[in-house]
Amino acid sequence: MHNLLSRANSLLAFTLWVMAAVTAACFLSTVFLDYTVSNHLEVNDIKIRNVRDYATDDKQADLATLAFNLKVDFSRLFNWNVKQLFVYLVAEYKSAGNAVNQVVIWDRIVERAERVVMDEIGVKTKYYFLDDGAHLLKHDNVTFVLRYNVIPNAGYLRLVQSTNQLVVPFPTTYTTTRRS
Amino acid sequence: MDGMIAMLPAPLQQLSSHIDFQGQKVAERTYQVILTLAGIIGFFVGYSTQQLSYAMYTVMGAAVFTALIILPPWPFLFRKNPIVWQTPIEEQEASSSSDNEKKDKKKETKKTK
Repeated sequence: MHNLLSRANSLLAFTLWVMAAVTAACFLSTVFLDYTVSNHLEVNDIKIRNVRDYATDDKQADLATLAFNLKVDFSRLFNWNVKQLFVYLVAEYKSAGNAVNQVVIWDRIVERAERVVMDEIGVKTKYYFLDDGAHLLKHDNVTFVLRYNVIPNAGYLRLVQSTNQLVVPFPTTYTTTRRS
Repeated sequence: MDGMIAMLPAPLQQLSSHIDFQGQKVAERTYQVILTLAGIIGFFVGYSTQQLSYAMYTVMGAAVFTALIILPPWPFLFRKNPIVWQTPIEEQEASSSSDNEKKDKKKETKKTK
């Protein structure tokens, strides 16, 4: 502390300690909050085609196309420790081949704002809904689940599931036309 | 630091930023108190505005303010208790030769510091 550089060094180091402490306090002030929201989901216009799965084993597999409407109010989730949300829609079902199938068909980054309401209508799937086999046809209950990562400014990456799910029976016949 | 001083233009090289020991103690206590308070106030600023950036700006602003107080060697704050050095031996009057020998030995021990 006897010269300017020494004092500047001490001051800077202490400043960084204080900023780290404030960041830790910010994390502690938000870690026990409840981050669940409900959603309103409708799935329409489901078509299944039987196609050749060229990417893996070259066998015939079921490919589903669909459109959905999704309405969620995320405003309540954002606080000073939430930077953005990573929201995704998963189709979960049981099949003869696998006990658990989970296919992510759509995702979206939702950034912080004063009021954040997602009201999507007629959204097509972002990723292919290709079954591991041909088990989608006539399936009674494919469940659509909305989950999201809460991406913090400080802390761990939290995964939350929305409160309600949608169970949908799938078509009983294949579509043979090209138009989805 | 010496290298940085050598890079300054000649008139500025004479300036020194030293402060006495009591001043160093005061300087350290000053930044500790100001920055800790800034951290606490910054947390509440951030919490009430729900903006972490505001908390950080508060702390950084306090750091700049503190730098203005403690970095320059203000004489009225940090140079009020100057260090009292012993007078150098060369300035004392030479009396007997034996004293001179003792002083020579003292000089040599001092040089080998």
